[in-house]
Amino acid sequence: MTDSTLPQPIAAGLRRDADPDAQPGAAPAQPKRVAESAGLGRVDRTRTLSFRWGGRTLQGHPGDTLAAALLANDVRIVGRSFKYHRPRGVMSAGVEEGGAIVTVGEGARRTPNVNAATQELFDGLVAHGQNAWPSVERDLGSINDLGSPFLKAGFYYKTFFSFLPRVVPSSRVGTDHWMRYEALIRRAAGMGRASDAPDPDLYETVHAHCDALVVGSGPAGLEAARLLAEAGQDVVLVEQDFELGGRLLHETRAIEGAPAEDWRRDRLAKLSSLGVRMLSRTTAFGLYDHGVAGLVERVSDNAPKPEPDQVRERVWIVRAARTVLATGAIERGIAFGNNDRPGVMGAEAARIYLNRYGVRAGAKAVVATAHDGGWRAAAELAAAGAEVTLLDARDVQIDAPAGVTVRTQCAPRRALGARGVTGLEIARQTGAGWRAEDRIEAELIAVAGGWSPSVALLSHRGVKPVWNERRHAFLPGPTPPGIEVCGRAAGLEDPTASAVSGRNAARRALGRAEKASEEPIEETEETPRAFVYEVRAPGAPAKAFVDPQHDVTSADIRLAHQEGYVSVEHLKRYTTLGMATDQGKVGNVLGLALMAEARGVDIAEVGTTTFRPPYTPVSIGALAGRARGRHVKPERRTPMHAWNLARGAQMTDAGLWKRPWFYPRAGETIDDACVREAATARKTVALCDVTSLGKIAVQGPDAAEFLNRIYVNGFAKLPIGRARYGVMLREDGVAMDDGTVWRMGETDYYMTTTTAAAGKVMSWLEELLQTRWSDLRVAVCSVTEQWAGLSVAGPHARNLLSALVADIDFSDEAFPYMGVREGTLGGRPVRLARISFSGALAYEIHIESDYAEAMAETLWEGARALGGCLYGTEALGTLRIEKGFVTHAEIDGRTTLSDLGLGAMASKTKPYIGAALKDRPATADPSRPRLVGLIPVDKDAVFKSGAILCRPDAVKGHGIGWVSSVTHSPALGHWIGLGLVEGGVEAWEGQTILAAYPVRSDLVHVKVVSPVFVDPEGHALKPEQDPVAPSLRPAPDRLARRLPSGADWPEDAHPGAARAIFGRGGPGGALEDFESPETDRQDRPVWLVEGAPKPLWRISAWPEAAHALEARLADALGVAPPAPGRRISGAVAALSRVAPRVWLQEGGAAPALDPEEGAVLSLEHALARIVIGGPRAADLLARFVSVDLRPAAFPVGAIAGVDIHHTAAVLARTDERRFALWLPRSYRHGLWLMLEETARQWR
Amino acid sequence: MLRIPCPFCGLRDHAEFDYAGDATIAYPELGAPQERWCEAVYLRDDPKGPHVELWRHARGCGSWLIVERDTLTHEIKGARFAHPGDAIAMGPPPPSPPAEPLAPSDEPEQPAPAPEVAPEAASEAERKA
Repeated sequence: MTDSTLPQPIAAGLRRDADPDAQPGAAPAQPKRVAESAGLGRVDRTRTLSFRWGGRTLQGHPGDTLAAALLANDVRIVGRSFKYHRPRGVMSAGVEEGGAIVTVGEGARRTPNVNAATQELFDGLVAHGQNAWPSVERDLGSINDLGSPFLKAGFYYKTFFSFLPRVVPSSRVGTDHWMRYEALIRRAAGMGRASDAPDPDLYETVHAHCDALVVGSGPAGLEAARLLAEAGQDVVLVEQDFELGGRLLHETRAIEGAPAEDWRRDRLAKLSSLGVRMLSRTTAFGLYDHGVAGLVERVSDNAPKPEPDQVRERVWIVRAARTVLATGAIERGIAFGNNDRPGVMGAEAARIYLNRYGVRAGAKAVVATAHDGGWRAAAELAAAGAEVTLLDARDVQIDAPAGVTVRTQCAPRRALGARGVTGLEIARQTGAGWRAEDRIEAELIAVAGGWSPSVALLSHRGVKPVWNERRHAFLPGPTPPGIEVCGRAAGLEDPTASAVSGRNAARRALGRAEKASEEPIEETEETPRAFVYEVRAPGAPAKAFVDPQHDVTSADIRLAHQEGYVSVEHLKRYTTLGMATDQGKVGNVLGLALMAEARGVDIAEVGTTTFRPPYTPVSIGALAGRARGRHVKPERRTPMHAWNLARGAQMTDAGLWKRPWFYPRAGETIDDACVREAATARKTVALCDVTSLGKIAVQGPDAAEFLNRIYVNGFAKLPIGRARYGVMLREDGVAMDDGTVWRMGETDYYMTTTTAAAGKVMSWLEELLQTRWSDLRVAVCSVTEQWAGLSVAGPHARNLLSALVADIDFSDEAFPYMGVREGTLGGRPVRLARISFSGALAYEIHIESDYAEAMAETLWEGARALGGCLYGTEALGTLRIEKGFVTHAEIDGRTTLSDLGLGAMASKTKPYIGAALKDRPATADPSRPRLVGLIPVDKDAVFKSGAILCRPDAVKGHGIGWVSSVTHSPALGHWIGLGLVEGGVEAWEGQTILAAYPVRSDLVHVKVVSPVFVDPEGHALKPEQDPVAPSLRPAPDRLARRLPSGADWPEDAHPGAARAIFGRGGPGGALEDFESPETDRQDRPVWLVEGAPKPLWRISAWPEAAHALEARLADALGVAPPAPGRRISGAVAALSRVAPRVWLQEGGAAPALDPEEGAVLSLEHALARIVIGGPRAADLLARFVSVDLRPAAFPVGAIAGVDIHHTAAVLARTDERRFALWLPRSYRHGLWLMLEETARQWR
Repeated sequence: MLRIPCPFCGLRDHAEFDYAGDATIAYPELGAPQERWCEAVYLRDDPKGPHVELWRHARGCGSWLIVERDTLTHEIKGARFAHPGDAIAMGPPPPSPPAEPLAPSDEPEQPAPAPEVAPEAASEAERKA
């Protein structure tokens, strides 16, 4: 392996330099690992793991962290500091690490800023130091440390931002200096370099629900979890470490009379038997409202790369009825000179490395403390054979532990040694200050600066910590309902006391125990603690670090105070205290104490900043989960998608939809194709897939009244068999959307909307019906997916359709312009309307979606015989611009009816939504920009949509309007456009203005004309006579049905052998086989199949008829009436209640409904059904669906509307391990792929 | 993440819902004067504390709900259907006419669930029956 990031000669040199002990047998394999006979450490010494550090190959053991293994190998310098490039070593054994921040992995998996103290060691791990060149051992950037008097807090701002020309005449203004030097500075000061390659790994989100979430698996967490589980609670226990037990993993004290390890094993066994879900390597990174917690599970960070199809990290979103925080505490340091030298670490960290990993970080050790806890570290190090000096800042009389030299009223003044600790200068307390004393040799300085409870998660919920004078710590303030804190996080020290407090927290969480029934907490008697945060003796200056990771020193805090940045928020921003990856876990309290001292106030008065999520860094990949690449947003496809592709369509995005853009023939550009397609639509006949247009069924006795209120024009008298164009306004009088409404029957209307506004309109109609006009008996339902539409435009349109749809009379008299007719094509019902968005003779023909391909093929065959073609959205745009029809380029949320030239449509005889406010002075102002047509003065000129329209003499500002749409017009032979100009055609007709496109310095002279460029009288719409056509082959007797499975769609090719695992829709009854219980694939952890086609009816009831209707529906099917959210399966059909007044009937015949009762509608083609089965089915669904799927909450027979990847779907549990998922068919393709990709992890 | 107690679906993530603003606005008749429409469309309080608002369970049962939420604490006091007819449909069936003799039933008699609808709604249902 070579370090590919370095030029070869240097890399080679490095390897020689960096491994002086390369001769075999020259040094002990792991010099700092204590002998196995000492019985220390829980690493597996029977196995050796090899890993690479810089150029060296080193060894460690399973159970090591990277930091433990580096210490064991006596690697002292592991990083260079952020600003000064000072050498840094391992400073802690946990998430608070400020020194051992390294880069792990290679190539696309190179991950910078990894905490070595929490990175699990694995065989083949590759890591190196960062922020250093050529290496952390010999870093040229360390020259910054010499220049450091200039690099203190505020240096960059003062130097690069503040030279105003007034002050320094030669200076440029403001940030100019920064812009010039930023790149250099960023390179010198900074962190690791991320990989430039795309992340090759998978991530996912899981939704989880539990009765109780316990964070932390130390004594308090284990006991809280045990009591909760014993009380019958469904408990999730999370632990950020790779092993469960928290401090029990290094505790030498007995807990409740038992050795810590025995106690730990006992409790874990109990939790396991109680069914507690235990997640290790999982950090609770955020606590949110209503019991929601965010966890990140590091699934594969203990291996070079994830196993195939396994994720690297997984985010859990947990909804917990109650939460117990046993998050422990973090040991602080003390600010003294060079307290960042490799060899200075926390006293608890020294214990952890010794007791958990069997690594003695120094043979000569100094322990500095101001509380009894430090004495334990001293005793344990001495027992492990180290020569130990204990410095206690207090004046205490305690018996010295064996082998420990005790010096009271002493503290470290300054660490000695340039590249790592070689000794220590001791300070002695004299009255209020410190005086330098002697020097001693030392290899390790273990600092017990006191404890800071981990209260970050509470801070996320707005709980302010409270300073406790006795414990010298910020303790949690009063917790919100449903959250309890215990153990060290609550300020306790003794492990037994923590265990008791864990049980008490569980009792409180259960709400069962009164305060009196809690067990008393007895802490071991302690000598009073002292609060020592800085040892500042007069003499030679040496930096004393408060926040080592961000190189913030005690002098920086005083400087901030001196310059007036005294509030805690200003202090943070001025010095960057607490803004490194550890977010102030170690440094904050020291900084606050120093500021309190400088201000002469109590630390409580200084206050704290608010911790915000995440508690520890979370990768962006984990947060994105599977929503990346093609899944970043859902994709919608029409049922003719594959057919369009097979006809050569180039696709374009229209919102979430994929729509045919143009169909190029050999050698054609998009312009060529568009011109040909548009011309064909005017000359012969052309077909366009218009399925993505929104379609809404509006049903009920009051439907006419409802439509009349929402459209500006009259709908009360629209006869059956007719369509009408309508525009709806927003309440503020601005145009919202346009479309047509077809009246299919007495109480049945079929509304079309634009593709863009379909969702918005649907939601708006529901809002009106449910929140304002609850007296109207109207049901609305999107049927966009139920019906597929083709536009048939051109002089031959009638010739084509009358040859294929034999049961409709297409004569002008029988089927006039704006007429609606129902008939059959190949035996299937079709609905047609004679409407035109092109100005040509045109029809829309709609068919049930499963038959869309067959319909397209049938019509295409006829169209080809007539010399027709297919056209896409580009030609569609051309045709509508030629006719001056508006779309959302013009209905852009700013324009009124009059602006769009549609003012005459508005009814003066009825009120409607938006009527009142459309006539406000501002919206009724005739000088507002209004729709105009634009043609270039120079007929060869091209102008652009988005250009600003200006008076020829005033090309500035916002001009007098803008260009909204442009196209090359095949009918006119030059470019044309639509735009909005102040005053409109009336003010500017025939005048020349300028279309300015400043971004490209483009100026085109355009003439203002009427927006209708072609056939203003509309002759083509209603031709006197159709062109003579050859006789066409009639439609086939039966159209082929095509399910939304798309198994053979060309771009479905997907790596892997999905078919071997998952069933897929196919011919010949395979679907039925897969769905039958006998063929449940027991051998598969999870399987997916396409549901076989089955009738599906949606029934809505008017309020008063609901009970009777439900009873009748149930009776007719021979099932019991389903309770809300339940599905009852009968012999012929299943009946479900999916909303207060909505039922779904699967199978059986259409229920007969009186319009006075409600409305019924088929959704058989609208929803694709995917059946998901197997023992892991619920786990697969929990990756997408946030609904509680635990059997008690979602039993067999449950059915619910769910959100799957931002898509509304319906989910039912049909048996213990089987679900049916109904998806809007246009989303089915992408969602199936997501489900399938996710399911692979259980292969 | 807020958790909203949908009266049809139960407690659900707010990500399934669309927020739709103040539920206490009394929209005027369509033909009402411009001033009244201006007031309804544009004038909104921005309360710190209790707020009655509309949420649509868009990726759930589709119901529009009236939710009482504290804008300061996010505490949600409750949610009910915006459409009064939904409460009727979810309530107990209206008493059936006692004319026909009861057919023998295999199922044990279930006590009727306590009515969840407001008294006036229930009495209206009775009147209709």
